Amino acid sequence: MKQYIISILLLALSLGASAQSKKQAQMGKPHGETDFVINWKQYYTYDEWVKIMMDLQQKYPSLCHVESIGKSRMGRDMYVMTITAKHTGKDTEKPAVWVDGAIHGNEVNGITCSLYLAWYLLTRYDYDPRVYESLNRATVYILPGFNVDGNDSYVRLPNTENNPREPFRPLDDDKDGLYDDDMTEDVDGDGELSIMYAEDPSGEYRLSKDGMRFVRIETGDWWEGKRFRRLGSEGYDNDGDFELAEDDLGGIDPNRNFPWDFRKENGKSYPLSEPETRNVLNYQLKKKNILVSFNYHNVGRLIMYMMPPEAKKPAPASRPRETASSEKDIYRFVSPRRVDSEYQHDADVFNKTVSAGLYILKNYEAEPGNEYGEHLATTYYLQGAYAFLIELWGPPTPFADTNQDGSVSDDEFQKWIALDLGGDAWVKPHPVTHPQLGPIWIGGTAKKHIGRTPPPRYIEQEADKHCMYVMYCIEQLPKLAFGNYSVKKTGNNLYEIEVEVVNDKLFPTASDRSVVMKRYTPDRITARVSSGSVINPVDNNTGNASPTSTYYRTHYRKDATPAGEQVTFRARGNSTQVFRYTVLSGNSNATLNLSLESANGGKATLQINLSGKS
Amino acid sequence: MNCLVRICLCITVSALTHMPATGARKVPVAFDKFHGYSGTVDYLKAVNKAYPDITELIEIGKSFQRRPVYVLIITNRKTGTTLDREKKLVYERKLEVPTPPLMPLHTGKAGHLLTGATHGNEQTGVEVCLYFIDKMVSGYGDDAGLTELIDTKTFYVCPANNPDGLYNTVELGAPQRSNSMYQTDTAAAPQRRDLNNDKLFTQIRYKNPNGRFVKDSLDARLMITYQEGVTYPDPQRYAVEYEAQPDKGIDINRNFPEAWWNLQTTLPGGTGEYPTSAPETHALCEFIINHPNIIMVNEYHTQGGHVYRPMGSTGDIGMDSRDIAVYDLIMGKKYAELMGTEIPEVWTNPSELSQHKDKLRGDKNTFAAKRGYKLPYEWRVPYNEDENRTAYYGLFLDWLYKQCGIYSIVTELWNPSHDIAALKGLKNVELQRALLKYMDEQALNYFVDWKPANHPKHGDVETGGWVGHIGPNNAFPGPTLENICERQWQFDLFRSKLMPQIAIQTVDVKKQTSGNTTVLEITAEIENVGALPTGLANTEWMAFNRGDVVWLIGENNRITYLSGKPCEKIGNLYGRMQIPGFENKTGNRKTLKWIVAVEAKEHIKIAASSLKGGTVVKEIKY
Repeated sequence: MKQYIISILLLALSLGASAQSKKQAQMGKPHGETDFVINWKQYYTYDEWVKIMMDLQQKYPSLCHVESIGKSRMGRDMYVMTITAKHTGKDTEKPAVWVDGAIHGNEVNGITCSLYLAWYLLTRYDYDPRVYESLNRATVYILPGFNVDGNDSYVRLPNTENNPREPFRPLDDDKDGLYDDDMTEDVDGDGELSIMYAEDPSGEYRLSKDGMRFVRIETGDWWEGKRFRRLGSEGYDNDGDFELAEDDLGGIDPNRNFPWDFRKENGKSYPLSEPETRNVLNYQLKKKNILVSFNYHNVGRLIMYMMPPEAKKPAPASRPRETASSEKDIYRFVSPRRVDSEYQHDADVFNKTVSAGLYILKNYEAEPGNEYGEHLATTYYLQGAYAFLIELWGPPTPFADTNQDGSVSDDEFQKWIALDLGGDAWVKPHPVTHPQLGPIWIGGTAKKHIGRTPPPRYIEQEADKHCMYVMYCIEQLPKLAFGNYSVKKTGNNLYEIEVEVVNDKLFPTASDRSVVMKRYTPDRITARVSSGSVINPVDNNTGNASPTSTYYRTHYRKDATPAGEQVTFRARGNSTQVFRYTVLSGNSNATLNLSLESANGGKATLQINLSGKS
Repeated sequence: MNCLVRICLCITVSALTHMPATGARKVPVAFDKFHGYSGTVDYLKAVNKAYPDITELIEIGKSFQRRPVYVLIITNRKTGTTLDREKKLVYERKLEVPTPPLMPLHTGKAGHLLTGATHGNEQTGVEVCLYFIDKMVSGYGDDAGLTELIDTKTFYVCPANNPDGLYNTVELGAPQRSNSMYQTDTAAAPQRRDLNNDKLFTQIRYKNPNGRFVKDSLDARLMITYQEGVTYPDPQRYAVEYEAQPDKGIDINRNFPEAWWNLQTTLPGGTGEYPTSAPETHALCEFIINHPNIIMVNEYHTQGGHVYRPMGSTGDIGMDSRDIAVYDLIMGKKYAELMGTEIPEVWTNPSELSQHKDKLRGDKNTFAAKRGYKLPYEWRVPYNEDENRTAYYGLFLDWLYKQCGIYSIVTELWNPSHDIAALKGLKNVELQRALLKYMDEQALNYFVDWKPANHPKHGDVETGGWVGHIGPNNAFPGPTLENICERQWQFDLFRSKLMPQIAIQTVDVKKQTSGNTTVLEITAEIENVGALPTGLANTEWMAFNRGDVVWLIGENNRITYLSGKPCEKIGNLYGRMQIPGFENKTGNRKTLKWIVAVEAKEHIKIAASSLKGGTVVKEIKY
């Protein structure tokens, strides 16, 4: 007798869940956006974004909580928001995605992207079935500001687009024996840091026709007008060595401060020397349920992914390859790196996740992540989570490249500022009296929020598509269920039962890296027979599976795993795994009761009648 | 009462004289028993109180069980300077980020760090540290050499890197190598495992047909390793365990960030969840990074009676041959002399190195062939040179050398067959028998006779054997320990005198005045008067090694530079000592020249500053 019956799934998680209260069936109607209004056309200071987090917590107490994971160098609390439907279980009992906003002080569009994700999940939970399902079985940890001191300074104080990048541990950048002794400063008090020029008859620069830029006078060019010499970044010569801004604040790059492949020449101190990085790693190590991680950075429109180590073993004669898709798909991505078989699944998962991201984000490119002390490398190599670094934003090519040559010329850039940004984006060269240098000119650069952080009108566009990418990953966290099963009577009182365990999501319950590191909780099925016994398939003496019947030896599914009262395994992504049970029972009405437990894939139970009737 | 009066008298006398103590030992210290953590802290505090002008006691962090990790700084607190004291900023910073605090004065001198008890059960190193402190502070003002060292150099002594392990070992008697992380319960735990309530943690032995030990035929107290095929008078086999099981924790000396990962397997090779995860490791790393003037470290461990020089993870690969020469032919040679052992012949005659390299060509120890000599037992590397295999990951030793540019060494103290005259040359079982006999003669009670006891798991057992926290693992307190301390003191002193020291030797000023403006031609000669270069060879290219700098400073910034720059970067200077086998190419001197115009009455000075060779300043008179 051979029959397959669709099992009735009893998902433990769904038992506790209450119905969605404000489910919105019409896509054109509000989905909770007005329940909690946030202005997405501005950047937030530390106090402001923390207040948003606290207010969200107050508004959605059953979905999120905010906790400090420690203090920054200057004593600011670093707040992480944990988002999950609390009534379906604790955050650590569900698979999780980690998102952090801005490990570099100046990359604050990561903060708006992170906050947007939190806002999207919380406001839509009651309206949107996709968000509802996701938060019922998954957790999202969000740290909007990572380098909180730098992030706050960048938004609140005059800065160039590149500063402050690092936390404020004093460092001797210019090797003159003094620490942080010459920083950029706002000489003219206009709230922007630009470039200083001096009038000089032998200078190499002139003003552009529109008076907006300083342009280089090429050798041989004829120029009669005013000439300028470039002095350097706006500021004072604080240490009197005739150089400007050569030893700005801080200097230890927090994204070179993590332990995997830490290199002193990049990291400058020792792994996790900064309170910010140490707080984050200590917190992440406690959350063993984190399976996917996003670090937001700028700039360059890149998805960087952390590939498993390069293959050490020679390639097998016929190595498993993904079957090439017949359809053309410009977003399909396959990393060139060859990996050993124990890491092949990770490589596949990375490729698929990156492909989805390239599709969702558009105009993005994929690049392997750097190792040497970067956060994402440690996330993958130490914690075994799939780690991605997103370089947000980039040159305004998609909006301003009128001649389609792939880059934005100075004139195209000025047109973009005039027409798309309403003109308010440029520091026009203007004369200033400098206390040390006398009469000088300052200007000719874009304002702070142009080059590396999007101008305000683009903030929401950017945040929205990145939110959709993270949503995709949340949705693809593992979910285990029993699939088809079959029962065969193979002898006197002997039954062979084959059961499928299905994970139809992209992510496995644990990465290959976690398996290599032995840093994961295996998935487990416990089997009980109501009357009779499950025969242990493993021979205690040899450790080999010992088939118990002739039928077993001749008719078994080759891919089936012999299972006893307890079997442990790791469910891969998009996989179906078959387990075979041999049951000895004199009672044909007896049932085989299976209970599936997975730390990251949820729980399920299945009852199978030995008679074959459901 | 009598006591009180005496103390009052002392205070009065010293207050009246205002003289530095000359040779007076104000804080008595004895080495007839181990100080442990509490005794060490008491001693450090007393020394700091008695010698406030030349010592400072700082806390660099806390252990897992919140015990402070102390460092005693020994240096003349009135001498020396730092660059930020000399070179004031023209504009104070306006942003909210505070100006960095002034660098501690003691970082303006070359630094030497001694550490002890990184492994809690290796408490001999603590005593060696305390002996060093005693010699230094009581010699100040009396011994000219020591006085000069304390005036011009800084000594950092951290006797207890692992306070919890040391406390449990000495105060509780339960040997503990690692720190106290991952323990379910704390200090009280070991006491509950004292089977016979004798307040001593020894061993247990019980009969077991597969046990790895048998009784020694000559001294039945001794348990010796059972060997297949040997006939024993008493063939009964025993299992031997420690009475107190060592607690779980992080081995601090495998938790440092150099080669913590095993790159072959891509898995962690060191201990802990990540490098520097132990609070004790973290404290030491932060301390080292904030004291870039440190150029020597001696890390005290037991046992073996030898020194390890870097590298543990890679051997000589990744080391600069100039550093290897300093280690082996200068320091190793001295240590071998102090130990009274033979040294490779070529160490005394480095010009013959290349012949010796030829002789060793084809030797299975390829490292020796490359150097030109095999390392003696007393001076070795942790790397397994014969098998070309990494033996250790995450060592403090390696991190200090490779990433911090420090001549780091580990001294494995205590080798009974070397340190006790009666046991000279003995090995293995003979040594153990002799050691027991020696203790009988000396009436030392570091071995307890076996007595029956009841064990919760094994039932009838016997307790006895070596007293866990002394036994063969630590030097016997008393004269034996004191001899070891004295030898180490000699060696640390030798290394201290090798440290670089930058000096402004001559300043020559030519002056021309016209009206209010004076034009000066200033020539200054900067010299490293110390023995070794101001930077290790392996760190020449590294980001943290800023090289030596010389600033010409006008107090009110009223200098116009006609030639030369305010800050001249001169790189690392060689020292006065010739590094064996290497030509001193760049020399230990550098002449600098400025031509400047100054307004009248501007105070001008030259400040020369080396990260590891100290900072000095000289006024310019014109």
